[in-house]
This record gives sequence, C-alpha cells and structure tokens, in this order.
Amino acid sequence: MNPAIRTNNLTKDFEGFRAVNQVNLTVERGSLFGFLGPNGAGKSTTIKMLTGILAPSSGDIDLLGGNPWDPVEGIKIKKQTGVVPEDLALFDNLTAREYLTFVGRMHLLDKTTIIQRSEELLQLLKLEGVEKKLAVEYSHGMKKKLALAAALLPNPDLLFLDEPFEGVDAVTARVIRDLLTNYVARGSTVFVTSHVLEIVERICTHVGIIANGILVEQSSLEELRKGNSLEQRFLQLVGTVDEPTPNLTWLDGGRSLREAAGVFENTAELSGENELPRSDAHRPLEPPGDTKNSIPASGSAESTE
Amino acid sequence: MNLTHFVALIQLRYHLTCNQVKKAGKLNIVISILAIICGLICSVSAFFIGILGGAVWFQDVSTTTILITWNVIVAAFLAMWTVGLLVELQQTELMSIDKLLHLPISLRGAFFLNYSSSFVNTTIILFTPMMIGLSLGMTLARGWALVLSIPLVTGFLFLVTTLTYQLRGWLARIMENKRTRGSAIAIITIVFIMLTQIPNLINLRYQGSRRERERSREIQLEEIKELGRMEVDARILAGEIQPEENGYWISEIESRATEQLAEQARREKDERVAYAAGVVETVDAYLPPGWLPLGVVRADQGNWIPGLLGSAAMFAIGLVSLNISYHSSLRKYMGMERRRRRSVKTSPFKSKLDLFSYTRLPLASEQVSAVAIFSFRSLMRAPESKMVLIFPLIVGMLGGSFLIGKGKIDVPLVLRSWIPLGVIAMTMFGIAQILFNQFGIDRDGFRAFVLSPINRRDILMGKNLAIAPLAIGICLVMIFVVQIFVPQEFLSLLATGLQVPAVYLLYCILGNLISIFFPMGIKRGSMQPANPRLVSMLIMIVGIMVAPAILMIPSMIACGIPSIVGAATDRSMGWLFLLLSSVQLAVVWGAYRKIINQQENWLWKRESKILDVVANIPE
Repeated sequence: MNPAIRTNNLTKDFEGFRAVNQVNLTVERGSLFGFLGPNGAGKSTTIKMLTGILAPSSGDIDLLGGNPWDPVEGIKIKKQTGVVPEDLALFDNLTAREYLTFVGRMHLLDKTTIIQRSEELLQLLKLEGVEKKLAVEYSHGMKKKLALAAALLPNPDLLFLDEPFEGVDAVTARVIRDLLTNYVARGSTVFVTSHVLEIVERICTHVGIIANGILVEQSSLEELRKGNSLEQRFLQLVGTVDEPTPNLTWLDGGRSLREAAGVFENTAELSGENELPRSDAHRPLEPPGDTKNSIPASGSAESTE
Repeated sequence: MNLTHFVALIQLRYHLTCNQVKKAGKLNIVISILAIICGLICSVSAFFIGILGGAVWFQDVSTTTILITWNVIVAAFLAMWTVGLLVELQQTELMSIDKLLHLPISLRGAFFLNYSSSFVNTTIILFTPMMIGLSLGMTLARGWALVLSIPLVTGFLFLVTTLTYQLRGWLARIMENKRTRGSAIAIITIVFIMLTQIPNLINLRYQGSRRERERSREIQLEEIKELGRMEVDARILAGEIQPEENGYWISEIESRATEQLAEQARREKDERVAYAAGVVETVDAYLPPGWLPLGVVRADQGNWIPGLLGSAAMFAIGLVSLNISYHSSLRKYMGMERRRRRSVKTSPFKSKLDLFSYTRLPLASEQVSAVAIFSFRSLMRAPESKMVLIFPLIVGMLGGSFLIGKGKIDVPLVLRSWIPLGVIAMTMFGIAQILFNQFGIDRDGFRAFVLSPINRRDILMGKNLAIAPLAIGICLVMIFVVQIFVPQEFLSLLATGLQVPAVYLLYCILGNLISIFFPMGIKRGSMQPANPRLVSMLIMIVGIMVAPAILMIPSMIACGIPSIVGAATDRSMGWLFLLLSSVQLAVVWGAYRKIINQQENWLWKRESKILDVVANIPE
C-alpha cells in the first residue's frame, strides 16, 4: 500500500531565502506522525505545501496516491483530508454551527450527518455554549477547537494539524490527544506539528525533525529516542544540546531583593497616584553596603527610611 | 511620565508611521513625502491668506458677513473633522492606551499623550493657521477688540478635540465587541450622511422658492409693462403725448419698472439675509461651536463679554469632558467599570436560520448553494460590506430628494428607459467595490475555500450568487422608485428588469477576473486595503470607474435602437427593447458560462497567491 504522504526533494524558496530544502518525507498509513522543529525551521511551510495552501518551488508530493497540486486529483485528495492550518481557515462572520454546516456541505454530507456530527464535536470540544457567537468573537483557543472540529467533521483518512495544542486548555488538550489516538487506531493517518515535546512523545508513533529547512531525522519514536528522552534527542539533532544557555550580562544574585523593594515602593505610588508597577531595571545598581531601598531582614515591606 | 518617555513615544510613533509607509512601496514613500510637503505649504499659506484676507477683505464688510464667514469656517472644520473621525474609527489605532500601560508610565501620562496625539490631524493642521491668521488679519483691519477671536479659536479647538476624545472613548467601548463594531460604524456613517444631506434638502427647498419668486417677479414685470403700454396708448389717444414718442415712453416705463422690481428684490434679499443672520445667531447662541462666530461678531460690535464668556465656557466644557474621559479610562483600566454582561443563550439546533443553512438554491448544485448562502450571510454581517452598501443608499437619497423636489418629470416616452439604465449603472458602480474583490472580505476564510474539495468554478458561481441579491435587489427597488416618478410602459419596464441580471453577469465576469488577478487584503471593519499594492489598487480604481462605460454598452445598444426607431416613427418600441434585452441576457449568460470555465483554471493556479494577499490580516 502507498504511504499516506511521500515527498521527493520538496523545496520552497522565498525571496532570497530557502525555507524548505529538498525534504524527502514518508509517512505510513495508520501512523501518528509528529513533525518537530525549532521556530522558523520550516514545519508550517511544509504542511502548507502538503495541503495545497502554498505552492512548492520544486519537488513532488504524493498524498494518498495523488498529487494535491493537480486540479482533478487535488479535489479528490481534499475530500479525504482534514486540515487545521497554522492561521486557521475560519470566516469571521459565521458562527461555529454555521461554519461546520458549510464544511459539511462542501464535503457533500447529508443534513442528518452534519447535524449529528456537529452536535458531537461541539459537545466534545466544549463549544456548544458559545454557538451563537461569531468566530471573530472567539478566543484563539476556541478558534483552534472550531478549526479542529471542522477538520474532523468529514471523517477524513488523513489529518494535518499544525500546532493543535497551542492555546488550548489542558482538558481539551487531553480530549484531542485521546481523539487522535483513537483516530489512528482505526487506520487513519495524522500529521501533527507541535512544540510540546511531551505530548508528541506520548501520542506519536513516528517523528520527523526539521531544522533550517532540512529534514534531519525521520523514524519511529522508539528508534529516534534510543533510550533517551525525546527532548534530549531533539536538542542533539537541532544542534543546541552542547551549547551553554547564555545568561544576561546584567543579572546578578543581589538584584532581586532591591527589585522587590522597588516594586513595593511603586505599589504605594500606585495606590496614591494611579501609577503602574515600575521596573527598577533602568536604575543603576547600588553598592552592596547600601541598604536604603532594601527590605529589612524581618521581611517587612516598609522602607527603612 | 517624563520628557524621555515622551520623546521615546514620539519616536515610536514616527517609526510606526515610517514602516507603514515603507511597506506600501517606493511610490507610496514619494507620494507621502509630496503629501507632507503640500500639507506644510497649505498650512503656511493658509496662515498668510488668513492674515491677508482678514486685513484686506474684511475691512469694510458688515457684521453679518463676519458672522456668516466664521460660521462657514466652523461648519467646514466640523465636517472635515467628522470625516477624519469616521476614517479613524475604521482603522486600528496606531498607538492606543492599552499598548502603553505595560510600560513604566502613569495612566495619566499615557492618557494625555494619547489625547495630545489627536492634534496631529489634517483638519487641525489646515484650519488652525488659517483661523489664527484670519483673527490676526481682522484685528489689524477692524481694531483690537477682535483680538478676542484668538482665545475663542483656541477654546473652540480645545472643545472640539476634548469632546471628540470623549466620544472616541465611548465608541471604543462600544466597539470592543467585534460583533457590534461594524454596526456602530455603519450607523455613525449613515447618521453623518443624513446630517450632511440637511443642507442639500434646505438648498433644494430654497431653490424651489427662489424659482417661484423669480417667476412671480417676471409676471409682475409683464403686468407693469402691459399697464404702461395701456397708459401710453391712453395718453396718445388723449393727445398728451405724440405717437412718435410711443417707443421712448414704453422703454422708460419698462426701465422704471425693472428698477423698481430690482429694488424690491434687493430689499427682500436684505430681509432674508437679516432673517437668516438672526436664525444663525440664535443657533450659535445655543450650540457651543457657534460661540466662536457669535463672540467674534459681538466683539466687533464693541461688546467683549459674550466672547470672553464663550471662550471661558468652551474651555470649561473641554476640561469637564477631558476629566470625564480620564476617569472613565481610569475605571476601565482599573477594572472598576460597570459592565452589562450579554448572556449567550444556548438554543436547540433546529431554528429558522439553520434551515436556511441547508437550503439548496434552484438550478444550483449543493456546493454552489453552500458557498452562496454562507458567503451571503458572512457578507451581510461584515461591517465593511455594510459600508459599501451605504453608497447606493446615498445615491437613492440624493435621487429621491431630487425627484421629490421636482415632482413628476416630463420626459419623452422614448427616452424614459434611459433613466433606469442610469440607475442600474450607478448601483453596479456602488457594488463593484465588493464584486471586484470577492475574496478580500473572506480573509482567513478564503483558506477554507482553498482546502475545500470543490471545483473552483463552483466557488466563483457561489460568490457571484452571494452578491446577486444585494446588487439585483437594490437595482429593482430603485427602478420601482423611478417608475413612480418617470413611468415607462409595461414592456419597457420588463425589458429594464431583464437588463439588471444581464448587466450583473457582465460585472461578475470582470469582477471574477479582477478578484483572481488583483486581490486586495481588507482590514477588519473597513474597506481599507490592509497591505496596499499600487497595481491592484490602480486596477481596482480604474475598473470601478471604467466598468460602467464599457459594460453598459450592450444595454445602451439594446435601449438605443428602440429609442431611435421610436423617435423616427413616433411610436412606442417597448417590444423591441424587450426583444433586444432578452437576446442580450441570453448572449451574456452563454458568455458567462463559457468564461467562468476558464476563470476556474486561473483561480486554481492563483489561489495560493490570493491567499497570501487576503489572509493573515493583522487586527
């Protein structure tokens, strides 16, 4: 059987910048593929090219046995895929139910199916209480949940999720996690990008890591970890594990107390003159012996002045 | 807040503006620099013109002229100021208080900085030097008493800016809810348009009464001349004057009568001006912006007290307004604002609206129907489309007030079909802004179309169908109104009805083309381009301007031939107009179906580029 996703030398160039560089990706059917990488590595660009949102500069894409950029095959593939893109695909002026109905009708689902699935999805993703709100009034997390509901509604064979856990509360994140696991268990494929390595480690069967537009690793999760945690392997592969975390030059041990004193002092100002809490960072640090603005050892907030 | 903060914030505003200008391209930088230079030249010139005008022209004028001049200046200032406010309401604030509050500056500092930024305004830059210059010039020309006009002008500016700031704060709180934001903008715009139409209606009424007066004067003149002729005839018969003097006496009587009537007209005009001045003074006394002209006039008459009281009162109102604004901002940011919570009711799924969601339109596929219904719904809720739909309303109001003023118009029967054609052209002109940028209002929603498993032809047809009820509906309503005042025969009316979809389809062909090749991202809540690209903007403007001339040609032929034949044979040719309109509709429909297949390919190839332009529009 063909893999769900296969790319051959997939490349995307922007003006003077190569975002994705000859990526050869293979995602088997029935796998939950986690696509990882640092910020700006090319994850979202890759997912956009795979889903027909952004045209590749060169290279081939094979999705469920067809080319998503071919006008005829593309529409067949879109019927079998669900996508939660990075910037979502919501209409500002439609409510959640209206949007789900629109997506259902685009996939030629019958009315009963649309109603039944919409009800279930809205309940599952805790959106049923805000059904009359327009998408423009939703918080980012709510928008993400609605986009996920829309992606799941047509019951696709292949799901693309770009950062599905970003901005979503812990309860819903767990619901999504379980949902994706069940989804893969019945033979569908999920391609997910995420910054939350713990979640990827917990749910993904396969992982691909991209850095600076180059696919540096793709294998099953077990193979990739080789006894380490995913975080360690990820840091090794993106080449930052051995580098010491740089420190800020002006941070020192004695500052925190003085800063705390400054905050207390300014809180008093706030109550009197509606001043907002003020940072001390712009003040020169005072010599260690000077205790004029420091908090007394007893912990009292009052100034010693 | 200290000077360092202030300078830093000025720099921030400068960088924001520069980056915004740079982002729009090199040409935009040049245009912006030219605009700034022109603005500065205008501002400086306005100051000197004000001084010169005040010193030279106002030396010997009456107080009524001074009153009217200052009232015109105040009215012009307020009109331009309101237009600026409307534009400002539609765009995201460059620097709101919210963006400053996490910084170590006091709320009071942020508040006053935000208020002072409202002085950087075209109206203020253009009008203030002119008003100050005029005050100085009039002081030089008419005496030191008029120096009082300077505190009056500053008081007026303080009053307007503070009240506007208070209003802006109030509107900002209304517009916090993104759902009501658009409606608020649309309502404010409609109210503004209605207010600006009041002078037009007064003028129409005045024009009507002026015509009546002129007519009655002509009749009076004719009567006097007739009486004069009769008197001359009588005197000739009586032998008092010689028959050869007949001409001399008649012309003498006529010239005396003309002089007499001209004198009467002058007297009446003076009375009307005096009456109008009285009305204006009364209005000025009750409306605070009117205290400026009234104070200047009274100072000119030697009475300083109204001017002093007026400027003090304007400053006082301004201070109270600023105080209210400050405390409401304080309440808001300290979380002490009383807020009415809007309860969101959960309702069972089966509602009337949801039934509409599943409607399948006649002759349209399931997917075309879905695109049409949801795009229409989205369009009707989008504030930007409400703004565009106001245009036909304005045209309707202007046309309506003109027709009501005129009553039934006597147009030859063969030419009557041309008026509804003009109405169709004007309505399409208004709708073109939406039709020529069909994906712009979708913003991120366009991504849903890209991801949808449907033919791109269905997207285009659905989009065209979504706008059809608005375009065709407005046309039909306006044709109905025109039919009341300029009735045309039934067959011509039917033919005009067929013209509406025929013209709309032609607009759709062009609209699809421009939407595919020259899309524009649109900011939320306005029709302003988010990332203006010169070529797209030029194509859009030229398209909107030129389309009526080109796309109306078939209609003009279909209407022109019956008009010419009708004029030649002196017979009604409604049947011919109907026949030609039917043929036109059939041909256009065929062309639309053929062209949309080609447009489908173009849309497929360009949809990721369109998405790049219309989506990801910042708040």
